[in-house]
Amino acid sequence: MDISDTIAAIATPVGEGGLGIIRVSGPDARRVASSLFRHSAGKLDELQSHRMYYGTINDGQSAVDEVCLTFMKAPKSYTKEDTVEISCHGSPAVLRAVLKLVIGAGARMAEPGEFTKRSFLNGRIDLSQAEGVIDLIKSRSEGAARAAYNLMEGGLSSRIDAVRQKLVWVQSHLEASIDFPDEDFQTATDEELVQALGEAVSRMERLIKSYDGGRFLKHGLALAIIGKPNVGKSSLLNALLEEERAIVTHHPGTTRDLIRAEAELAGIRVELVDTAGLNPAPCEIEAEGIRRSLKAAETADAVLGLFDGSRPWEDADTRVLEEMGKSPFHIAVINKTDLTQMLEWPSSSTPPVCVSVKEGSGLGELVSLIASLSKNVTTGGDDEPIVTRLRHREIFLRIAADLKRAAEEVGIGRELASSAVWDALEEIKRFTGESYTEEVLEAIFSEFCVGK
Amino acid sequence: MDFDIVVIGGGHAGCEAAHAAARLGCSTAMLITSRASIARMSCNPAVGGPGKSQIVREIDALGGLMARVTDETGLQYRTLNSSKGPAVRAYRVQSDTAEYESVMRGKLEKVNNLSIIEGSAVSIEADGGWATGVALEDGTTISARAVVVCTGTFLNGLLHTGLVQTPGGRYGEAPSSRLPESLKRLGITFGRLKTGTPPRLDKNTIDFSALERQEGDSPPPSFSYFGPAVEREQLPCHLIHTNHKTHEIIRAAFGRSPLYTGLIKGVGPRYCPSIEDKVVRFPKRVSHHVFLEPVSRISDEIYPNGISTSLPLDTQEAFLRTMSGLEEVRILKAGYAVEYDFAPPTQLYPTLETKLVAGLYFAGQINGTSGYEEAAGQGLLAGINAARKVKREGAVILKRSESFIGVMVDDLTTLGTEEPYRIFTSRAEHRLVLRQDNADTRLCGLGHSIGLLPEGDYNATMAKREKIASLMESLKNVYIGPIPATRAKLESCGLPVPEESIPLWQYIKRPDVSIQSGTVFGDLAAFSPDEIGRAEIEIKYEGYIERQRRWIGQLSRIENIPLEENMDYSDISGLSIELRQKLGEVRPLTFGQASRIPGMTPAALAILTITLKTRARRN
Repeated sequence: MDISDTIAAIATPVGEGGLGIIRVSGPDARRVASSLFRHSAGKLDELQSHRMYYGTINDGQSAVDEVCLTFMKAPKSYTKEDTVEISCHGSPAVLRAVLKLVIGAGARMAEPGEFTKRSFLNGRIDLSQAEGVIDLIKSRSEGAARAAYNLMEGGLSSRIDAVRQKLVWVQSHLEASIDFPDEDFQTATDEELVQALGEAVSRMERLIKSYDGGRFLKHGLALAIIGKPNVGKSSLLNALLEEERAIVTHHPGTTRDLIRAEAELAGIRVELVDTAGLNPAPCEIEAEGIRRSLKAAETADAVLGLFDGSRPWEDADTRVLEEMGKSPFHIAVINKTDLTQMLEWPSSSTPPVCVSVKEGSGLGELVSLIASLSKNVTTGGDDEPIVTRLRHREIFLRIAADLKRAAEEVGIGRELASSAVWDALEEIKRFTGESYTEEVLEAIFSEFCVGK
Repeated sequence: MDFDIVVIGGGHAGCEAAHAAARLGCSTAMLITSRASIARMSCNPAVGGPGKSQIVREIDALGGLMARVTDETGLQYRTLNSSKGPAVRAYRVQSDTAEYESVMRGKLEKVNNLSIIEGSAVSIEADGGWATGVALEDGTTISARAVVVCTGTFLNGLLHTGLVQTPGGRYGEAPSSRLPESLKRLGITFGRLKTGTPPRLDKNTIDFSALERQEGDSPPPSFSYFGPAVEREQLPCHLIHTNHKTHEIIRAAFGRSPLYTGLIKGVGPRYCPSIEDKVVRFPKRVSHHVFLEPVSRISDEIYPNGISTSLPLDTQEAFLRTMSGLEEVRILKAGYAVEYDFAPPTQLYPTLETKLVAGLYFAGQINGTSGYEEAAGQGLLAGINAARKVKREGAVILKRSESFIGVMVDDLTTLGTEEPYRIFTSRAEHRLVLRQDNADTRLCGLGHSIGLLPEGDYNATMAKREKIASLMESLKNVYIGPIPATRAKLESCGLPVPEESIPLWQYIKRPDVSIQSGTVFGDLAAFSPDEIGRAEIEIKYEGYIERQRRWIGQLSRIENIPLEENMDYSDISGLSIELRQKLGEVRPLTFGQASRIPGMTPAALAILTITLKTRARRN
């Protein structure tokens, strides 16, 4: 990839819209733009930075569109290069025509993610921030957007930078005691070094742990609802969706196959899976439905076990409790609290949430409990960044392992501890992109769309 | 007069350069103002220390002199960092400086092809970008095919004691001002550095009776792999301390300090501050260590290590006398600071040849380094490369991954230096592989193949390597378990009992186990302590060593991609002007070297890669 030429792309989604934007970045951006742009007061020779100009884009004979044009002079732009954004009318045909003119004037079509890649390569953002940009564009819930924005703004980078500073302190003391053994140099004690390393390890472990919930934030949480027939699984699904998605009747076993539906619950994207009731004596069709239910519960991120509060405890409930317990993330819910309560909850199990789908009571509590599956597993407070990317988690796991090794080795050999700390610092460089391979860059930037 | 090679200077760089060049078959002249000042230890009377020790042993493995001469002339021998791991252990030897000079001179006088000529160089002769010889102060000219400049602190040297300035290269010797002028005419640019040395004290005026003694190690370690074991009577050093009175006197004299009145412009070494600098930079410290080190058996001079100073002579005496043991001390030579010209070493290729003048090499303090060992390592490399150039053989470049000399030369020629450069083990990213114990197996092959290391020494190293390998192999196949007989043996020598049967190899990896002859490790009579120790290091650190070797392997993919030395960087668009200039100045020989240039970014490297590819396609 060449990053010294000028690139252009349509930056807005395909389709009709109020506005459509063409973005041009590179050393020739200003020349390319001013060769096509006619200001009301004539041709613009010198575009001023960070000012919006009104005029037309011309193909040499006539105007193609009426536009607003903004020039951002390097390095104060997204890519740290000279950048021009042309706001046209949001017609695919107009945008294609303008892009063609821009290319004809000397720019080249940008590759997917190339603007952001330049921003990274030119040192405006680090690699994790570039990843935040993709995640923000692709975020499908408010929670995911918040986590992505935090990543893009360097929330995670700044935590890692704090760890790096601590490690640099540790290493400087390790090195000083090695290189100045009898030069009257006072270095930190083994205990102080072990403590500093321990603090860095627990920071990494908190971040690693946050991934359990963080991946739900990013990819959404698949939640299977299981229970014996006629406990109100489909009613609950409809209530959570706030629409009549599943057919609800008084007949047990109405739902024969899986019903999948997507909802945003308290900022988290949740894929709800309604399943066939676990009937202990099923007919042939039901049996297949139950097989699918169990499979769905197994593959879901979390399982909601639903129980009927108006009926006494049965063997079928025990089975639901067992199936539910197989998932590390599960919620027990007792429905029909509007009726006389006959259910005796087995005291050894997790306390359930009580709702009445019919009356709508307790649903708020349930929603926040579902949301907390992805939030509460992150141990810190609200300002604690959440790890949403597997690449980050894997790097952090390696850093934590290196630092634990370092802490063990401080007392055995400071040069060995130093070597382990060095390994951890190299991993940090991989996180920020200070060291990278083409394969890693390729993998990350191929997630992007053209124009970003 | 006509020689293949002229070496200007006979300090630690000059000695190795002249010896190597002559031994490689080139007629060589060492030019020195006085034969008596060959191998002078101008500052501390010691060789070795972390990083430096590795360099000394690398010199030995390549066939140089410093290790052998040090072994033959020590007053005290110690192993530093012995409480830390073997990778960072280092020897340090207090030298008898007078003996060091005479033994080194004696060795050089016996080298065929080497003439020692007394005289002063005033200019480097060059023709068409090639060095052709050296002009002397007395009007004669020595013609040569290559010239190695090892002039230490003599280029425009200026000594400071208090506000008194004396032109000089070191105590009592005149500086050279015409030689730097001649180099400037060839296009070489210069900067200015500063270093310092403490006053020398009269042994007879010190009361040693109440002072803490520091003894040498017994048996003494040897630097050289090939010489006989060291058997010499050792002398103690003594430890004293500065106190608050000392610091008060020092502070009161700042008005007459060349450092604090702005007389000294050169940059001094941060890691080796003068005592006045320590007092300023560490105001909370109430005391600093001072080691009293004997300079020679035949002299009364004592070197007080830790209080280099350029304060006025009367202040030096006053603050010295505040210390216990020195109440009546007499100064033999005043401490002083010296400012001198150095040629920023980015002007050199990693062969230490100047980029501007072919056949002209620089080594030692002229390159901005400090330390005898650093100088000697460069002198050896410059001498080897000068000889190979004359003989039209390929240049020798030492890699970062194979030697500390390689680390130092890569640092110097790629990064340059802002202060006197000293080697540290932390400068070597492959430290666990570049140990002082294995310098022989790392470099003997090279030393032998270029013809510097004698056949016998090479064969001895190969035989030793075989023995270490066979010992390691045997430890893989013997098992040790918690059976009663073994248990009793282990407990009697204080060794831990393994919980299950494991190979000795694995048992040795435990931090609380070391190989001892007899008991469970079998009869090791056939192996020397050095061989046993090295097998143990290789086993204990196998995992770490493996990790570093893997890392080196990964790096070498890009490290060794060659770059043309005459590559034009000025028209690579997308690179900052500053980086284009830096690249044009350093002219890296490999992609790896380019990647270490300060200010190099991932983006710039990407652009460089693309440019290389497109240019290669075009050709």
